[in-house]
Amino acid sequence: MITATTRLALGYTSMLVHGVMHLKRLRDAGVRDALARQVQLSGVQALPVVGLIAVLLGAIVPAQALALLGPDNEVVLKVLVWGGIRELAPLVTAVVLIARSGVAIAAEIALMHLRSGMSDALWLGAAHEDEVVIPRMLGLAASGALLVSYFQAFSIVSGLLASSLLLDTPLVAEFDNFLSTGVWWHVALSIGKGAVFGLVIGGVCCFHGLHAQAQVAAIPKAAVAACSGSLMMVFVIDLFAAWLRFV
Amino acid sequence: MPEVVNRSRWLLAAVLAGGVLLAAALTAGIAWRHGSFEQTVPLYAITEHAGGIAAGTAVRLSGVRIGEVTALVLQPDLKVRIDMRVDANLLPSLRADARAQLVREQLRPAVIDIEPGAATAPLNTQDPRLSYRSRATLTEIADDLRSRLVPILDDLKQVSGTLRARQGDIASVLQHAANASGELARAATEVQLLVAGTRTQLAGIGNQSQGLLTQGTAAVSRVGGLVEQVNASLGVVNGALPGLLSKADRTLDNLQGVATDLRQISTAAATTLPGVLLATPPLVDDAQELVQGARRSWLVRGLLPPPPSLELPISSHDAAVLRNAPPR
Repeated sequence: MITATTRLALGYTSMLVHGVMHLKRLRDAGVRDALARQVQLSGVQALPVVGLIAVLLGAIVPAQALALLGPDNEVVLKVLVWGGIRELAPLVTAVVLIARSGVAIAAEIALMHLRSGMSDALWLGAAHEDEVVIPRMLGLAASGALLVSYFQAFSIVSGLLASSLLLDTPLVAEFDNFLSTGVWWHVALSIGKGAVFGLVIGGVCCFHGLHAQAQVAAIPKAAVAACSGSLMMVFVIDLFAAWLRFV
Repeated sequence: MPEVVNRSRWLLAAVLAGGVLLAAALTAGIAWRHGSFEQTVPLYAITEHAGGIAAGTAVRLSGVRIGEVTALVLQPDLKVRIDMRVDANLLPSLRADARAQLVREQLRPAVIDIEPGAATAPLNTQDPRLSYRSRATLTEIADDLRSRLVPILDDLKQVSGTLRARQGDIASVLQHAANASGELARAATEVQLLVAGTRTQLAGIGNQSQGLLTQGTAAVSRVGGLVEQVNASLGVVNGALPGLLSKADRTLDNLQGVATDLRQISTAAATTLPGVLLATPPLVDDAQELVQGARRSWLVRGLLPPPPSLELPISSHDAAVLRNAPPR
């Protein structure tokens, strides 16, 4: 168990380091096209789902906070800031990325591996790997940052509307209080976390897709492993970020 | 196909730009609201303990956020220096005795509340130090409350002990109180009876008073009738009086003319016929009798004042008396 976990951690790390170290491959027009396509698939096309979740979550958080803590506007706004900006936005976006794109990436790469009939030596060649891995990793990172940005906007607007209706306060006053309660660098931190989550999800999913065996049965295994591995890595990174905050 | 690709690229670019703009707007809005684009000035305070305070803790004046804590610095004497930045426009409002205190209410985040002070001198801008007062924690409040309650509870204990010792006295006092209350109850019964009798008597007096009032009303009505009759009589008299007075005036004028004639006749007779004067008194007596008779039978004798009594009787036949008679 420990050995497998260690191997996975090393594999994820090596994949991430390898991808970051070969960013110069973005000079290639094909890689840039692949990157744009990946952002289109995992970012733009996920926007409706993420937007809907953000609106619902933004409306639920103030309602639950009011039910739990009573009609305290400041606490509700604090919860909204915490939920809408700092924590929930990157986490929910990461879950959506894993469910929509991460699994698909792992399955796609595993299928490419299976259908191409290429040898491991060829796959491990830098050119092919970079063309497959770098656009997906960076595409998920950009999608993560993009989706977090939209998630924040939608959830904050929805949350302010909900708290304004529930507390019978003017929306402008709620917005002003929210701006007073918020911290500007939390926005950047949240978007950064979304990008890191996307990068890690891309690396983990590429790793499991690249390391899938050349068998049909290996495709779902790679998808499941990519999903669980990505979730685990996301929460580990989130825990690490929380730990950094209290150090 | 290229159109689809171009549209996708434009859509991708628009979505990316929208995300960047949203993030930038949100960041800029929060930063603006926190006064990041305003001129701020540093303040600081020294406290023994900085529990509950952290960088970013809001600084408020009169309940309005004017800045935030920027740093906590542990001093060599183990005190903590709280560095703050507040809106520069509000610095002149802070006086030399301005104070800062930590406020923590329920689940709300802690804030530093600044009291601007009332000193005449403004806060020293070269050394903008605020005196710091920490609000008591719940434990300290509980300890203070306990220290206040303990003496009270001791007093209560002593009072209850004294009461227990005096239980026999209290019983006798209660017995006396019960007797007194019984007597009071009897007195109340008597008072009730007295009140009932008085009420009956008052009812009889009321009935009598009502009869008297009815009689009085009738008498007043009769007096009113009489007054109306008197008014009518006076009206009749007022109507007849002017005619009677004019008649009296004419009669007096006639009498005065007769008297004048008589005086002229007598004067002429006195100068020309002294002997005739000897025969005049009987004529005068006759004339006087005529006048008196007229006066007694005249209708207006009651309207004229009675004649004055003569100093000499008219039978003395003194002509001087007649000539110098007082006016009537």
